Amino acid sequence: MDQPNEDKTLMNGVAAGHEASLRLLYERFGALVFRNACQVLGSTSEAEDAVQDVFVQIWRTADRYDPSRSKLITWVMLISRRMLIDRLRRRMIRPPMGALDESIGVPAPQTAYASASDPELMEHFTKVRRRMGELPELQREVIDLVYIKGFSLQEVAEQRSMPVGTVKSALSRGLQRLREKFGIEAAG
Amino acid sequence: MLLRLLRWRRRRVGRTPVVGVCCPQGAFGHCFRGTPSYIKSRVERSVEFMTNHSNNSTKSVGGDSADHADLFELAQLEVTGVLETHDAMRLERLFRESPDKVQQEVIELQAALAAQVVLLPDVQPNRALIHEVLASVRRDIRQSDADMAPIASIGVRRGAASSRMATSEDSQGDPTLAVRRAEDLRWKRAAKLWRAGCLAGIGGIVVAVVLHVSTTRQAVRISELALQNVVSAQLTSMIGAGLPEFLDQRGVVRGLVGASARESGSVAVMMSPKFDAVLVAWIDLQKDRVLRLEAVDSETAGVTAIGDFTVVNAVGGTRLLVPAGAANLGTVWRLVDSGGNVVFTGGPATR
Repeated sequence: MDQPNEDKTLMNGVAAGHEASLRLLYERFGALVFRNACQVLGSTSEAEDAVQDVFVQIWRTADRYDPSRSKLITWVMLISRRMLIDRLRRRMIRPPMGALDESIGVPAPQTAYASASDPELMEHFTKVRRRMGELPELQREVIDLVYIKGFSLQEVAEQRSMPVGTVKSALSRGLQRLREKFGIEAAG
Repeated sequence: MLLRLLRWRRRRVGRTPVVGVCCPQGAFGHCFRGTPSYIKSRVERSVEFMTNHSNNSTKSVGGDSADHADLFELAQLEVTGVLETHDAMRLERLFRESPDKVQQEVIELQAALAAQVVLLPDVQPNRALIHEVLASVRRDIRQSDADMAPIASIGVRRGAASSRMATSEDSQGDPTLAVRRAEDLRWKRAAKLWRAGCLAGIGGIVVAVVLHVSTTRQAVRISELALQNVVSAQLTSMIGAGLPEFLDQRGVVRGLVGASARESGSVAVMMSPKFDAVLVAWIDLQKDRVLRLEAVDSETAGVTAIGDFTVVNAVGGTRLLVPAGAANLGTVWRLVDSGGNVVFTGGPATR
C-alpha cells in the first residue's frame, strides 16, 4: 500500500476508535507534537496536557483527513499548532499591546520564555533567542510575536501600523531564514 | 450532532482492519521515533524547497507568478497555524487551481516544514504519556456514546463490552483474532438492526419523499417534514441540530439538480441570514463520496469554496460556515466531486 492510502487507512482506524491505530499515530507523531507543545507552552507538564487535547481533537476530526490535500504529518501538526496557539491565547494574561515594544529580548509574562521551568527548556529558549538575534529586526519581532507568543497576524499588524501582508511576508521569510541557517545544523 | 452521530456509526459499522498490527514495527516510513537520519533528510529537503521556491518563483509552473508566490507563502504560513479564514480560503483556491505538479510541491513543502525541528527543544515525552493520551480519547469516545444514547437505543442491544474501544490485545494471535471477527460479525448484525430501526421510524416518510417528489421539491419536502412533529426529532438528528432554525427562512432553500442522469439523489442548500452558515441536506447520495460545496456569484461568475464533506449516510446533512459576502440570494450553488466535476447545481439560474 502506498503512503497516502496507508495514512488514510490509519486515519479511518483512528476515526473508528481503534486503539491500535491511535497507538500507531501516537508513535509516529507523539514526540513531535510534544516538542512543539513544549516550545509553545514552555512547560513539560502543560505540554503533556496539550498533547492529550491534540490527540482527542485528531480523533474527533480523523474522518476529514484528505491525503490528496496534505500529508498526514502536515495535517497532524496543523491541528497541533492551532490548538497550542488557542491554548496559549486562553492561558496568557495578554500583555498590553503597548508593552510589546519591549518584548523582543525581554520576554512578556506568561509566555513560553518566561514560564519555562525545566532547565532543558530554559536552555532551549536561550538558544532560540540567540538564533533569532541574527535575523533582521522585523522578522525577529514577527516570529517572536506570532510564532512563539501566539498573537494573530492582524493584531501585530495593527500594533505596528503596517499592512498584514508585510507581517505575513516577514514571518514567512524569517522562518525560511532560520531553516536555511540552522536547519541542517540542528538536525545534524 | 450529525458529525457525532456519523462518528458513532462509523465506529459501530465501519470497522476497518486494524492498521499496523499486521505490519512489522518500523514499516511506516514516517515514524519519528529513533530515526534521526530521517528527520535530517526532511529538514534538508525543507531547506532545498525553500531555496528553490525563493529563486524560481517568477518562472513558476501554473501561470501567474504572483499567485504562485502567494500560494507558497500561504502554504508555509498554514503550517504554522496562524492563517486567518480568508487566507485559508485563498490558499485552498490557489491550491485547487494549480497544476498537479505544483500541488505536489506544496504538499511536499508543507510536510517538510511540519517535520522541521529547528525551533523545537530536544525533549522527549514521558513514556507513560501514551497511556494518558489513550485514556483521554477513550473518555471522549464514551462521552460521545453517551450523547448518542437516545439514537443508539433504536434497534441495537448494547452490552457492556460493546461500548469499549477495540484494544490491541483483540488483534494479537489467532484465538483473539477469531474473537474479534466474531465481534465484528455481531456488530454487522447490530448495524443492520440499527438501520432497520431507523428505517422503521422514519422510513415511510423518507421513502415517500425519495420516490414521489421531484428533485427540487424533495428537498423542500424534507424541510417541511422536519418542521412537523411526526419525524422532526429523528430527521433533525440525522440532518443537523440547526435544521429548524434554517427552515425559518423558507425563501432561501435551494434545491440542487444532478448534472447528469447518473445523479439520482437530491440535495438542498438552506441559507439563513441569522447564521453565517448554510445547511446542506441530501437524500440517496452515494455513500463515502467526498463533495465540495461552492458558491458561484451569478454576476461575476467568481467561485468561492465553502467546504468539503463526506456522504456517510444516504440521508444526511452538514452545516458549513460561509465567509461574509460569499453568498446571497442570487448565488448559484454547486457540488463538486473529488475529481473536480460538478455533480449537482442549483440556484436562481436553474429554477
